[in-house]
Amino acid sequence: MIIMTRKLVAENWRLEKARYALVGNFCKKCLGYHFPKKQLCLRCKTSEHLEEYKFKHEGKLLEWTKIYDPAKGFDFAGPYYYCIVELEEGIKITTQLKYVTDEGRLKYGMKVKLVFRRLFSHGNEGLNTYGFKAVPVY
Amino acid sequence: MSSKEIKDIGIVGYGVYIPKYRISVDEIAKMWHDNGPMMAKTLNVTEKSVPDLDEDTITISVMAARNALARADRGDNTKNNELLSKLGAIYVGSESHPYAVKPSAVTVGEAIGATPVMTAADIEFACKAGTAGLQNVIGLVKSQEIEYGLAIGTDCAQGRPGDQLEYTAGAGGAAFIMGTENIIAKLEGMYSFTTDTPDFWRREHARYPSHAGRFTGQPSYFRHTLSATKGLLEKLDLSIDDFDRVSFHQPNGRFPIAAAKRLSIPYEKLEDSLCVTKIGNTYSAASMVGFARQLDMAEPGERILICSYGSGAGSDAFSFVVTEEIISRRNLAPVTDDYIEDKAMLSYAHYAKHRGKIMMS
Repeated sequence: MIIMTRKLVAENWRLEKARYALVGNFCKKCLGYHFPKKQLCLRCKTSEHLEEYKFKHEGKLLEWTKIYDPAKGFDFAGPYYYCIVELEEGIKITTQLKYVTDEGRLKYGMKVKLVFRRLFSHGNEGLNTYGFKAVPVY
Repeated sequence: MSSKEIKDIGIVGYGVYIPKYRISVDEIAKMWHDNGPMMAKTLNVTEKSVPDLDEDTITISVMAARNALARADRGDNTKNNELLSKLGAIYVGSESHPYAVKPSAVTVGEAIGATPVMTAADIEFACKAGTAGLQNVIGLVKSQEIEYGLAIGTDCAQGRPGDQLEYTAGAGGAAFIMGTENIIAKLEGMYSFTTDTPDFWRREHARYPSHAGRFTGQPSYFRHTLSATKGLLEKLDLSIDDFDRVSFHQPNGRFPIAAAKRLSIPYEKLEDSLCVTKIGNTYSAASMVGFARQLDMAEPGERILICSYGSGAGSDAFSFVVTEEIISRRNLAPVTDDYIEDKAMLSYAHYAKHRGKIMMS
């Protein structure tokens, strides 16, 4: 049985803006993007030039793999595809890739959209975690 | 009292979302040794939509809300933040909220970026919770408490295996942003008809709803739908001929046609709203998805009637007049048919898995 700890509630909550709305930040000095949101620009070592930035729900498919033996809690979803998506701003994210009925149609660099889905349910009584998943655009 | 002049209120953005998966009535009938073709003919439904394994009322609401927002910001992303900062209320109407306690509306608010200065709540009134939310939003906009408000009707409807409801209980959502600037369709008025008529219910902790069979017809669906529609016509001093398009609640493909017939509404005025035949009954979303499809196809100047029905029971009727704005705005987000046509069929076994009918422990 999956038990949701209080620590996990706070952890999930901290990532909400990133998972729900792709909120990260942009540094006006070095013109770099950060995702999820950082307290300091990793290059400039200051928060002075950081502003909140919402990434577009689009990107390109960099890599993918098929998971035949899902982790605990994802049993129902298996087998499923997992992928690396490069957002338009250059940030790379990992996420599940939906609706792959024919792997032959997947192409490196093809466009993907990010949709809003339930990522995980913490048992019957815990919280649901929501966020983005990728869908190929053929 | 505000001295500001009361402006026209209307829809500034609308959006729908329908899950990709479908199961045919025939496939369900095979499982229960029913006559599929006869069942499809009786219900006038051939397929119904089925949520994905990771879809629920919250995810569908978010997707519909994003589509509504895309139309509301008129294709200009910079207006998005401005509109969101003025979005003062979100109401999500559904009878299948994922949580008994914890609002779906807050996740929608967070996901579209409208939080934190806004009010939000989940609403339940069987299949008319979405239009009840719409009324709340209209009230707040009209009283000038908020500039914009979002009302969503969404459901991942439950049907007991083997029950007649299983053939129609679908999934989908529709979202409407109401405001006073750049409106797509102007609200002319609304009228509700409500009584305690127990035709369909689900008790706390019950997995599936119960219904009273034929009692869901005449004393329930028809009495409330017809009364609300007639009441609206009288209130606005209009006749049914003044309307170019209508959308009624669609529990099956027969009831709305019969209701239109009894109101002497030509089938052509109803036809474009009948999504039920391909996606089933989307409960709180049903009349709103039908209305959205009418907006997808409407010409400026056309008058549209929408009348919901929620078991228990009540109907909310609204009259809207489409403006010139519809032309430039309707293609800023996927239209209803984009979702209806983008489909993948499921077997009954996969359907059972999708709807959580297979218990792992």
